[in-house]
Amino acid sequence: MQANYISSEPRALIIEDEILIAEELRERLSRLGFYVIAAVDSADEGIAIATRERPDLVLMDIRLKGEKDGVQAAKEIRQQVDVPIVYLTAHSDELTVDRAKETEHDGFILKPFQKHELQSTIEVAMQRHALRTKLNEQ
Amino acid sequence: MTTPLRASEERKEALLREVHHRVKNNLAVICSLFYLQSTHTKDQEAVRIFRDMENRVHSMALVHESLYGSENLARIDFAEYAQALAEDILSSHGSPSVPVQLKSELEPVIMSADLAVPCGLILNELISNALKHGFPNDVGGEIRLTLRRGPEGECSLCVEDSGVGIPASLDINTSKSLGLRLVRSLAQQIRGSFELVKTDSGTLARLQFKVNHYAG
Repeated sequence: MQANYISSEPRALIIEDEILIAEELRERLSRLGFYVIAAVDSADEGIAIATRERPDLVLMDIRLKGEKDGVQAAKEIRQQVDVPIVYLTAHSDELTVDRAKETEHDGFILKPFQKHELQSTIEVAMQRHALRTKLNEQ
Repeated sequence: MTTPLRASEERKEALLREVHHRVKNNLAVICSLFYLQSTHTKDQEAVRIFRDMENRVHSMALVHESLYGSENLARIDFAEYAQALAEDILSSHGSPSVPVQLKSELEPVIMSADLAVPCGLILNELISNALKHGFPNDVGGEIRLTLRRGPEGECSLCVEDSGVGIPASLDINTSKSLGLRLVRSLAQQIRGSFELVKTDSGTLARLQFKVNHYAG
């Protein structure tokens, strides 16, 4: 846990209910230069870690184990921490996607993850967030 | 319909939806396993093999994903499926500096999962082949995807590339390529026919089959 405090790598949190898909994301994110704080499969765990660790990026699966889904978890995280949140979703989840689009978000990544798409969506999300922070400070 | 019957129907539908979702999830996990394994080898040939396998399993996962999102949970529109699959394959192969454009002309063809899985696997091989052999050395180009359906349920699915063209020596019936062997076998399974033609501008792969004649 200590190592990441002195590291300048951006820190990411993965909330995804299929742990091996989360592992794939962990691998892909570290190749993009991120330090992955944790990969968890429930909304409550994700909210707790996001609040405590204040990551630079949250990747959020919309479907999660337990009562809360990703949209609800994102809402709760935003109430406490200002962090870019990118949703992970499948082609077919149109209804959920529509619902998620109504909430505040910084991007969507379709499964299966493609290298270039993952990279550009994350970059845009982080830039948007940085700009928003700057505007709020003024 | 009486109320208990209706409730039982709804329960059945919910269960079926759940099954498709779980099948899709398990197949997606297999894709992740192939990806993770590919990151643990330095052998470029092995990396390529794992990526091919990941794409094959993904083409099956996408059928279950489409079923799960479909209204009646038994049939999918292959046009929508083909478009999504083609985009996925292209972005997994593509280097953004030399793009291969996708042009598609797809008529709606409603089919069962039993037919959609082999057709999806065939389509995956045809698009992957076009990318791999049609556009070597990172040159850009175009892939034209067409799906047509006749009045009697006769369908033709074509993948045409503007690439370098197939070598004159290639015989699809004897070729040792696993991709072509899979296409041949799967075409036989759906009682269809398959041909690969050299055209003026590249290569045309054509699969013909009937939706009605396939008893699955």
